[in-house]
Amino acid sequence: MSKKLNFLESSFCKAFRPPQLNLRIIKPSSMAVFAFVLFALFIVFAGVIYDLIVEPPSIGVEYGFGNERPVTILKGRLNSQYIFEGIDGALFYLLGSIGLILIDQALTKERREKYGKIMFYTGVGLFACSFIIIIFFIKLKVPGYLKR
Amino acid sequence: MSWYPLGRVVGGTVFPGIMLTAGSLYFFLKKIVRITVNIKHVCVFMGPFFASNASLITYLFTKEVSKDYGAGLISAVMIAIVPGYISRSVAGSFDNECIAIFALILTYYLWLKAVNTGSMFYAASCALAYLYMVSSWGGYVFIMNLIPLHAFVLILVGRYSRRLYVSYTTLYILGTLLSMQVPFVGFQAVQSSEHLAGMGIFGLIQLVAAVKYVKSILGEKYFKLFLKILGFIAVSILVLFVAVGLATGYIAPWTGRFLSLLDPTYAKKYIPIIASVSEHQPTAWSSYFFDLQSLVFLYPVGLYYCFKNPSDSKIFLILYAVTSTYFTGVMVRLMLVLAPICVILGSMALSNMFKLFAYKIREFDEEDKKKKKAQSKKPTNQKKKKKTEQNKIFNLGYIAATLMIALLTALFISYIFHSIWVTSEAYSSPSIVLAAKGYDGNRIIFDDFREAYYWLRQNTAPDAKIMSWWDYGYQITAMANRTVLVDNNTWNNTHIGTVGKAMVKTENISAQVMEQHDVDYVLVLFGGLIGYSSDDINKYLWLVRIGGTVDPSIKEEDYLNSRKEFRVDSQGAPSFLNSMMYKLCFYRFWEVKTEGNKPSGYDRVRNTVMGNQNYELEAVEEAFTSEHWIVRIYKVLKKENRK
Repeated sequence: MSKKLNFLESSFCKAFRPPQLNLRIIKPSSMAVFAFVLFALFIVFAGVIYDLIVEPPSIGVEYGFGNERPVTILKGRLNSQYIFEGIDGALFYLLGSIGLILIDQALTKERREKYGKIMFYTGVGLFACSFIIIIFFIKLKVPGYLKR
Repeated sequence: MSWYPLGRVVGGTVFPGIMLTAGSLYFFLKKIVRITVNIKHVCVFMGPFFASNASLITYLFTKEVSKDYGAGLISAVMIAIVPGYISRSVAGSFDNECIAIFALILTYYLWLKAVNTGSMFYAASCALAYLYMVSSWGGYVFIMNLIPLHAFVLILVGRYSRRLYVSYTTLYILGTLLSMQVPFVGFQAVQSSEHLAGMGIFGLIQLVAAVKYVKSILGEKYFKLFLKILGFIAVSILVLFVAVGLATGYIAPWTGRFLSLLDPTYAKKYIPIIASVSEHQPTAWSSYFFDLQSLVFLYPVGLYYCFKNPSDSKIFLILYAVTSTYFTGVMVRLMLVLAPICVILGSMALSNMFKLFAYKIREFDEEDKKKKKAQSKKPTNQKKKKKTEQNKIFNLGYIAATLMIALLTALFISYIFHSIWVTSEAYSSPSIVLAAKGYDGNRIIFDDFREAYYWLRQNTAPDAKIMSWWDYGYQITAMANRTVLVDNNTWNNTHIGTVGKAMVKTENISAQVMEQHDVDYVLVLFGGLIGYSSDDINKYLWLVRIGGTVDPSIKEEDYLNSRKEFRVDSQGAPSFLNSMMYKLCFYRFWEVKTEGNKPSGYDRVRNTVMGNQNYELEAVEEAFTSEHWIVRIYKVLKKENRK
């Protein structure tokens, strides 16, 4: 039986010889994959697909008193944006989430006390400021936000 | 009747789920519980009823994934009011998505239960839930690609187990057989490219199971030989199968609607009718916050928790989240599919953060009790100040922890206020009766649509055929009870293209097309008198693009002026100013003074005076104009018998 299998093996190996590949299986750590996923979320939240299809200008222009002033946020309409405005919004979304992640990291991992304090207060500040700034942006875009 | 003169096979082109559900609810209430209800009330309230069922299922789902009752409760509250889902499940919105999201979450819950327990019972129930989903919505393709992707990723990451094998095999076989029972799907379940992923992963999982079984029998040396031969045979069979299938055309390529999700610019170039629907527009950044508020911040935190302690179900959540975020970026309508996963991940994050601070407070209470006990027993002071910096977890103060819990509660409350405001302002207005605020603050009601449809119902012959743009087809069929040429179900693009061609060409060519299709009345929408901006002139370029798919001589640049602008005044393109739609919309508008300081014929939507004035209509005559000139109906004049 083993003679037949040896014969089969040798004939197979002679007929089909795969090349010598020195492949290593790459296993990224879960936090590295999470960082990549966050980056992909940033791209989508910034409305990059909207920019590709609708091709809005990168910054709006406001005319007044004989000169032009740049305007970042497209006022009045909800589902339209300038390119920079999209990136701004996605940045603040991500900063708010990173603030909350910092809070969690500060309270669950053992590290020196100074760093724990800095991480916690930075996280709280980041999240609070991002939330307030996003609400401010939305009030520019949707007139009458949270008013009857 | 609709789609005159072609008609349509309703049984084979419609998803029957929602009709069957409404019918069975009505039957149950009337015959078994013996409460007299009108079928109309059952249909109107199906949206909220199934949304509350979805809330219950989300509680079970979150509890299953995170093993945390608190997260489940928060997710049930959040999905009950998340604006992204409420927008499609308000009372009165009788569309496929009402029951589809409930069926989606139910299917995923049963799938995760099956993977976690390895029981064939849950896998078979998942197949039944999948049948319900297939019969309700075209988005079932999402399930049939996400579950195989999940199985594939579990194999890749090294989490293959007997439970996965049992659940996936049972689900795939039973699910495919059951989905083929729905007439609309039929043999597409094994032929079309959208379902190939499921079949491929099914083959792969059989292979993996077989290899593991053989490995347990053979020795090491013979197993390597076996692997080489098997791998070679498997790859060659797969390549042969796919090549023959694609070459003979048995395997159909991806259809337009789903291909436009993978390649977002595809629809804009080749299928303008899909690109024209406003729900199919890509999403801008502000729509995310508007539809999800705090969840948009909590969602990456939930992903972080999933990555921190991975398990089979959490890997599924990650895959669901990433794929649905991408699809939501392509079409704003799919925010509906993102809302449940955002709620689940967000509630897991919120619950974990609440727990962090609550434990800190509890620790303080216990430490306080310990200190009091120690002080009462031993009055000696033995304080040793350790100045060495040890690594320890940051010790949050009692007051700070309480403040953080208060802040998180405030965040949750702001979510509730936001959702209620958004629902009341943006997602609750009926679109058939318009309202606006007058100069002195009182409300003016524009009831023109119903006025025009009832005029049609009462003043035209019962077999009259109406030509309008496809947005109004369902309303005309239901309220005016007349036959239409095209309606909202967009499956015959050439027929819609012919109607578009009839609207954008000159009056003579339009009259020929209308005579070919036996049209009696034409209905157009015009918002220039009151400033209603969703009228047919604002949709004009879409008519041009869609008409251009049928007649290559219709090109978009012909209807723009020399500066590439779409203008309605005298600087507009001549082919636009002489087209049928322009003449129908603006007929006799030059006699009307809309604003005090502007000349007559001032269009309040485009903010210019109309260009082509004082013309006569030859092929049609005006039959009806509603009170605020929103709906205008024209009767097609029959040609004389002899010249």
